[in-house]
Amino acid sequence: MDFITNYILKNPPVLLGLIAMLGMILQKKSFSDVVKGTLTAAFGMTILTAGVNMLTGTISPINTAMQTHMGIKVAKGLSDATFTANYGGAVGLAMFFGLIIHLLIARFTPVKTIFLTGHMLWWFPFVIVAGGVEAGLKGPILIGFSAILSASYWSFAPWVMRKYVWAATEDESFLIGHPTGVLSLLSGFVAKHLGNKKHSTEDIKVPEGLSFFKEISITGALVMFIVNLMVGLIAPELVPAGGNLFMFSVTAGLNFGAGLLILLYGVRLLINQIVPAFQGISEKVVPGAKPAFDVPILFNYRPNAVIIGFLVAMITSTILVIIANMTNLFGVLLVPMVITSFFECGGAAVIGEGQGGMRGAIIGTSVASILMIVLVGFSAALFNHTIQSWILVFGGNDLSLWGMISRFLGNLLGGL
Amino acid sequence: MKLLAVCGFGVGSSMVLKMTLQKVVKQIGLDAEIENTDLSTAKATPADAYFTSEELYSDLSHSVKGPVFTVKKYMDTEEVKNQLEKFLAEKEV
Repeated sequence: MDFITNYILKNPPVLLGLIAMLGMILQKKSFSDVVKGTLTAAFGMTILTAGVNMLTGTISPINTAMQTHMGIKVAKGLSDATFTANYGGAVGLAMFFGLIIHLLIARFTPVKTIFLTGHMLWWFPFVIVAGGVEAGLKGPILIGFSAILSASYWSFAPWVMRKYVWAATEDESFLIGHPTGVLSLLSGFVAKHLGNKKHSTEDIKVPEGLSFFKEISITGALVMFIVNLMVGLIAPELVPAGGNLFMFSVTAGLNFGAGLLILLYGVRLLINQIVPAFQGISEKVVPGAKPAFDVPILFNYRPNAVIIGFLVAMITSTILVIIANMTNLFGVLLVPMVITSFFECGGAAVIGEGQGGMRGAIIGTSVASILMIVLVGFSAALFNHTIQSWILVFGGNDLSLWGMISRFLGNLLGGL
Repeated sequence: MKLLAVCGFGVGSSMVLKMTLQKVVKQIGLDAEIENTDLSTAKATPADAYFTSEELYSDLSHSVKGPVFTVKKYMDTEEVKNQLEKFLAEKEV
């Protein structure tokens, strides 16, 4: 037992490999497939960690430089890198047990959701475990608590959004399982009341020149380059002695874009082993359940709304980021939220368009992007011992919200 | 034969498309290897055919040599089958 807790649980690649192996044995795959799948899942986890480290490695110097510049003592202890190394196993187990609970909810309650957005099957337990760790939970309680919270997210969030999604797609065969949830709900609500269905975003022609936004690694690299330049001008501590700010920023931008690509590749390797197995099981156990898919599926239905939503969110949120940073509102330096603005606010724009046409999409998304900044600011501050840099890149959405819920509930449990 | 399912992030919807493609390929008894990936990686990955959304079509078709087919409903086996058969018919010619 000691061997398991000390060596396997603290070795995420090995643990995830074993989970994938179990899944494939249950599916009665051939010996060759089991070997291949097991190792692929383990490689995936190793690569994913490397990608996260590259991303957070470009974000944390920015924060450290600003904090040093303002004379704030920099927090020591767990950081993004050490968090995954120490708790990756707990995240894996929370995902595994969470999936079982999620299937049970679909089988025995009217909420028949099967959450198939692969990477979110990993990231939800990830932030929830981090929230639990921040609240002082550990061991089996941490894992059980995170499994239950993750499962309830996967089951209920797509279900709550279903009416708005179906209004946009005019198709009731699937749901959206993606952390755009709370932002989409707000956008849909606002758009319904303030929008005007007469004018659609899809009537206008969006210039082709804007299409490079769709490649998030490129947009991300550009934005990180600019952010580094600006922070470096304010806080010269960013660049190590003898370095050149311009070249430092170029390297940071490249590392960020490359980190995103590596992260994606790792997630793909890992999740490709788990999602098909999970879908196979769920088709047998819960026939007729509604699958919940990744948000870009929505983008197909209103591609113009996505680009307009991204621009609206990027502009609104960047202005708010600048204000929040100047006033040190959250005690942590926010960086422009490229990824959340594209995926989560893009989804919010499609939902807004479905409820209130072009005006609905624009007003809905701008209100949603205000919420995005509030969420990322508060959650980044709460996660200052664990995944703060990660949340600054990927938060501002349901991940932030559920991380905060986890932290809050964890505090209640910790008091027991 | 290698088929590639492509979406912007390369992990979510393209995965769903891949699973549908696999079902269809099995149905019609085709021998094909299917992978899913993000847009940037797809542009650097040779394949016999690419499947993606309307939204990414022009971007992708400008950057790859193989034919690109669009799918609106990623889990709709009928639509995916139609597109795949279109590709197979074009290849015959």
